[in-house]
Amino acid sequence: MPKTTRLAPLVVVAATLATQHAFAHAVAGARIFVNTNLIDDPGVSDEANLPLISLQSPDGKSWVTDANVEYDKTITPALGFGVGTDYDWIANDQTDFRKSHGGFDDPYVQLKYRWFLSPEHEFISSVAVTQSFGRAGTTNIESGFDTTTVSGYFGKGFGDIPFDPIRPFAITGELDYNMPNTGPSRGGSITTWSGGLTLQYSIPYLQSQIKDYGLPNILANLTPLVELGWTSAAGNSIMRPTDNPTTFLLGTGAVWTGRYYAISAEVLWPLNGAAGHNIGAIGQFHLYFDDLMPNTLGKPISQW
Amino acid sequence: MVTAMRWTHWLLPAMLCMASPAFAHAFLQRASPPVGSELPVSPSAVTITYTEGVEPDFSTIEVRNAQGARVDKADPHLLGGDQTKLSVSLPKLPPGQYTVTWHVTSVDTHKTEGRFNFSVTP
Repeated sequence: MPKTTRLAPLVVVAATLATQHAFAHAVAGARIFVNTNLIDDPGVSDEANLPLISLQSPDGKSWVTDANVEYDKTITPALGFGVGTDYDWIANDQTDFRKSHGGFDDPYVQLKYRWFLSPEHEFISSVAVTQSFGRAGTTNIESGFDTTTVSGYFGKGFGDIPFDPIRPFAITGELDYNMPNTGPSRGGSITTWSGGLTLQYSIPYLQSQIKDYGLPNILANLTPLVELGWTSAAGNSIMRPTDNPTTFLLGTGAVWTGRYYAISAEVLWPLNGAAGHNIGAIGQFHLYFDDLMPNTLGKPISQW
Repeated sequence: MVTAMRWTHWLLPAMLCMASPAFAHAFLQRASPPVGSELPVSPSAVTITYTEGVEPDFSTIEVRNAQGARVDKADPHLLGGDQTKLSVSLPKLPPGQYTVTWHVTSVDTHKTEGRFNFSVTP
């Protein structure tokens, strides 16, 4: 079997994970859009995920563990940048770790701009450009090609709908167009679409806006959510379509939001064979610098 | 050794930043009357306790009846000097549903807002 064919599922998973950049939280009126795991949230803020860890099996035999770290900094209240990278560990044989290998994936930088905010309608939208650097990581882990990604984000809370049972809900979405810009390399250079949707139920919103049930903190700060992540090839491929198949991945879990940090955990459910062959997991520890250090790192550079 | 010294140069200011007083967005922690509550008698005030201190000069609480008319006494003030407790006085309210809308600026200038209802039963 050609090496590229054997690596194809891993490349797909790596490409999926590589699109999961920038996990800032966002506020629109009374709504807090929590940091999500499969897609970015629609806000710009001073935050970091330290780390975001996922565990998936792309082929039912090997397991890929991805640890992403990222730091996001505001330049103005609506404009920010982020830097990050991933460390991947691929265990090809669970009984023999000598067959495992690991290393750094493509590092990336991102510029993100929140172009629309409606506190009254709990609506927020941003756009971003992300540049990843393909040959700056570890051989056999990094993609081998640079990629420019143009992204759009939105978040909408249902708090302005006059029907209390659905007011704690919110949806967020992301759409990316990923453009490799250093030519074909190692059979992985192809333009792709990626993105996803989330449905969130905010218990903090329920408690503070609709009905205080006197829940204990561990429940009162919880936001259960469902995420759908997706990738697919775009345009003509120089490769066989089976080398870049469409993937659908479902995440179900919750985010616990504290004053200065958030913790999240989700179960990952591959919805088709190309997205994996076993149930996986994803979670993160997330710091809010705008609340943790509001007079230093947490303040936009324009206000220093 | 050199590497360790370089780290300490960064670590010390970082630890000082962590140790300095930190303030965050002011979100509603609890309210009196409670969010979504039904009261047998008219409350004398609406008091909101926030997760962080707020600036009273840049913070408001408005209470409106079901017809949208403002019914509070427009006197937002800190309760007992506690910067986390903002209160507004009320006249005796007739039975009905009331909407509380608040906008606050926390002591570190973060702005937050919210809205909730309570009702006075006949």
